[in-house]
Amino acid sequence: MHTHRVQLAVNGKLKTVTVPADERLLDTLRTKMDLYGARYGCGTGHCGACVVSQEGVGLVPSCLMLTVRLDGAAITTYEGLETDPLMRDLQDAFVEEGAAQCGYCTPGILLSLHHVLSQDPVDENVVRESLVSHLCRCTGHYASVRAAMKVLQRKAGMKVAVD
Amino acid sequence: MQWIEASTLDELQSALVQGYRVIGGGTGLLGDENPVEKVVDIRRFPDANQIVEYPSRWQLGPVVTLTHLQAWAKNHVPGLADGLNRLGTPVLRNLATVAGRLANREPTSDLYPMMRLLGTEVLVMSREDPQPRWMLLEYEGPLYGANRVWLALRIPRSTKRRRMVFEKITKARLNGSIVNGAVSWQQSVANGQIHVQMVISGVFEIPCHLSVCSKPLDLATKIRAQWQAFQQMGWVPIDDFRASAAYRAHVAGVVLERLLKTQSGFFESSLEEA
Repeated sequence: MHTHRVQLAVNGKLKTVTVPADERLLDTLRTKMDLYGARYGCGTGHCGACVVSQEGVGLVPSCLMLTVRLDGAAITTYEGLETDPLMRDLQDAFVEEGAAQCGYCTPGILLSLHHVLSQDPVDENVVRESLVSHLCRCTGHYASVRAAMKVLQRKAGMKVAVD
Repeated sequence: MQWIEASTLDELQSALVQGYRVIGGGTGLLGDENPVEKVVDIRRFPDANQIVEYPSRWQLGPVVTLTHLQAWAKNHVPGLADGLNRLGTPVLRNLATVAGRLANREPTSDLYPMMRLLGTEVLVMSREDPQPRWMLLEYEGPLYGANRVWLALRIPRSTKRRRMVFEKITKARLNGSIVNGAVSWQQSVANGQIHVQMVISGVFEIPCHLSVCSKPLDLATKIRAQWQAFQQMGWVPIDDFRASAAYRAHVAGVVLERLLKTQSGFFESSLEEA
């Protein structure tokens, strides 16, 4: 079997892994780095459960990316934002709005919402557009949109208060 | 699976001879349903992920993504940017390449109608002929095959189809019944006639082309386009439902109506000028 040595910056830490050529980033994250936030859903990039953030590219489906092609890339997974204040706000809002039931797709959705709420300007249409990348079969997206808008309003309120 | 990189034509030619398949974004090639044995990566080719502006053309590298094209199109072909927004999902568009989307064509192709209307050309190299050649983007023909590589795409700057509207028509059920249509128009300076061209995919196994001249552009134009679609025959229909002449006419009408709706301001002002 052909293997390759690949160096990745994952959640800010440099890691070197040896992978077969056909290993997907999703498998590398889960089996070699014990990062379980990205999950296998459809295997075709449509469901968004495996989403990670690649520096310089944006959000990408890790189930469709060969790890061998990512030598030198910087990847952020859901775990990398554990202590991020915006992510904490989003998690709180998800609990308040009941936006997660089984939770399988939740890390991917939170990562997408974190990405979109970090940009400026943001409105409800932009939030809804970002959720197009995700399938949620038990909760749907209404609660996720409400949670994201709640965070957005809190951010706006804080900004007004500071101004 | 074996994976290698090629950054020169010689390396690529050698890989093709050994039976490697080219990987760009990988969304089509790496799905679970398409196991591959050997892939050659061309992302290190010069300007592979760039859109370069030349005096006569815009040239897209082979791994330019749909997101990249969309950002570029906002300033150059707004109708294309709007259409790209309706292809796949934002996450997939970050990874999927323009060349991959066109080279791995399906009867319901969504990007093909838009790129075809723009007069896109493809730089193709084959296993048998290492000399790259530009060819007009067509749905069938010598562009395709396992031993072909798309090295670049170019959109002529003189394209007369920069104004376009894209429409995606789906049935509300999960049987994959999708039709995609793009329509563009240009107005003759000499006589004010408006030339409308449409490419509709998802009805026949090969996207169909319709062309109507009109002055002004109104509901009568729509009826003429519908009649043209109604008469299209001789191609292989995708399924019984979409094969009916009435359905083809309906689709042509929907696409043209979207043009009339979204561009009503333009047509009113052009009529006043006329």
